[in-house]
Formats: sequence, structure tokens, C-alpha cells
Amino acid sequence: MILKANCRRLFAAIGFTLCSAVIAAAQTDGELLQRGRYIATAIQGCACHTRERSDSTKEKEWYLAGAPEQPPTVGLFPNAGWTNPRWKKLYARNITPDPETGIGKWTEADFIRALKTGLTPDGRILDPFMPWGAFQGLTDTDLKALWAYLRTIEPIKNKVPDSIRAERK
Amino acid sequence: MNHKLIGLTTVSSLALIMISQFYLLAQEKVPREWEQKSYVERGNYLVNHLAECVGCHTPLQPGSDTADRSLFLSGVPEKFAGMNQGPPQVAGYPGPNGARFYPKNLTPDDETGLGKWSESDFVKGFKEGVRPDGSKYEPSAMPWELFRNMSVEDSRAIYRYLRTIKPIRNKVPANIPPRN
Repeated sequence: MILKANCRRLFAAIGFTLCSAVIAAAQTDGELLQRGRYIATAIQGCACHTRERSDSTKEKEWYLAGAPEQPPTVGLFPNAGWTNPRWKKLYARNITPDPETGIGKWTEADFIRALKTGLTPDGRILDPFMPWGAFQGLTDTDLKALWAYLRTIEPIKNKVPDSIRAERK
Repeated sequence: MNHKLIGLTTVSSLALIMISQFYLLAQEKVPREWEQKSYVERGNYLVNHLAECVGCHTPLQPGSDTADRSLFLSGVPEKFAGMNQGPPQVAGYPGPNGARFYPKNLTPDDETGLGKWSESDFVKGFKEGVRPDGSKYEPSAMPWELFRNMSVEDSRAIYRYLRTIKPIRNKVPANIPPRN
């Protein structure tokens, strides 16, 4: 009788621990995604990666899909690209989860490495114009949170052309 | 009786924990690493890293695209007024119908920066998209539509950090409104 009671207590304890662990994990994932959504919609919208209408408002249906496949030669920066001492045209990339034209095949580790070191999984080094120098200072929680959020957005097929290097003077 | 009591207690405490956890899930939470830190530290993190205000609001070193830290957050230099070619830190951002918007001086200089702004002026700017004089911010590269979602705590943190940086006297060129 005492043994039986102890068994029940044991099962109750195990059940309790398991439930708590599951809830804790779900809570952490939920918290990360929630933080990521907050970052992306209130603080760091990665605005360079979404093209714009002529009145500077964002084209929501191209959210974070980068510069157009056929960028205009002149126009707003996210559409026509940026010019700096290294680039004649620097186009923002597609950071939606599309596997072919976006970052759908990246892992969380790839994403964190790219933002901390500038190195992408396909061996490119991100130009410092993409301010990864500043993003190096992000906390791991915030990097994971942003990644969790980026996995949830609509994948958009849009192959951004290669950026064009500046001519050497 | 005893077992029933234990069972009942376990089930009800589990239910209580689940309810409270799911309730917590629905709240916007301050990340744990920020709970213990000051507003100024949090503002520093937001301005220099997460929101990356520096990129647009700090002038560039001549002939380069690297920020000139000695002019930290002082906006488009006055001497560039009238320029319509070049990066945003020189020529501002083009808008519709010939409009041009210049990244502003965020330092606490009284005459040319945010020196005379109160904390509530600043928070209201983010929350409601209006200047202290009540006029509305036009849509521009400054992501107002995003920042209105920012928590009051975060905008307060940004303000308090911006009070700690060096005031720099620089009268940013006036925005050019769209031609109608």
C-alpha cells in the first residue's frame, strides 16, 4: 500500500517535471519568436531589404525580398541599389526563406555567423555597407530571435542580381 | 483520501502553472539580459547596435563610407546644403516629387540638436509620429511606421542614452518638401 502510494507520487513527480520541461521549451521558443517579431516590426526592420513605391512607402508584397530581378538604373535605394567607393551598384539580397533565391537553406548558425563575422555559407563576405559591424554587438538572444522571426515570413521567389563593383580609378 | 488530495493538488497546480505560463507567453517581455541593466546601457545597445541609428545619422569621413566618430550622430553637415548627389549622409534621402529628407542632428546641442527636447517630446515623436510643435513627420527613409510600435521603455532608453553623447553644433539642411 505504501509502495503503491510512493509509486503514484513518483509518477506524479515525473509527469510534473516532463510537463514543466515541455512548457519551458515552448515558452523559450515562443519568447524568441515574439522578441524577433518585436525587433523586426518596432526597432530593426531591415528596411534596405524591402523595395519601395515612389512615395517611399514599402511594397509589403515584396517584404524582405531584396532588390528587383531587373533593378531600375535610377530610383530609391532599395530598388536601384546603393553606390559607394567599392560598388557601382550594391543590391540588398533576398532574406526571405525561399530556398533558391532567399536564405531558405541557411541554418541558424549560418545566420549568426554572417551577422557576427560577415561570412556567408556560400563563401561571400558581406560588404560592410550591410552594417554587420554594428550587428556584431547584438546579443545571442536577439540574433536567435531575429532568425526565428525570419523563418516565419512569406518565402518570395526573387533572384536579386549580383552587385556591380566600382571601376578602379 | 490522502492520495486523492495529492492527485488533486498536483493536477490543480499543474493547471495553474500552465495557465500562468501561457499568460506570460502573451506578454511582451524584456529580454532577461536587459532586466538588470540601466536605461542608458539599453539605449546604447539600441542606438549603436540593434536599431543602428549611426549609419544614417553620422557624417562620413571624407572620401570614404566609414562613419566619422568625431561627428557622432550630428546629422548631415550644414556645408552640404543644396547637394543632390551622393550618399544619404551628404545629400539626404530623395523622396517623391523632388522631396529630400536629411538625417537629423541627434546630439544634445540646444540650438541644432535635441538639447531642448523633453523625454516626453521624444517618446511622443516615436509613438505618434509628431514633432514637439505638433507637425507630423512625412513618410521618409526614417522608419516612423516601425518606431510607433516601439515600447515606451525602449524609446525612453534611446532618449536617455542620447543625452549622454557629446553635443555637436550642426544645423542640418532643412528638408525639401515634395512639389505639388
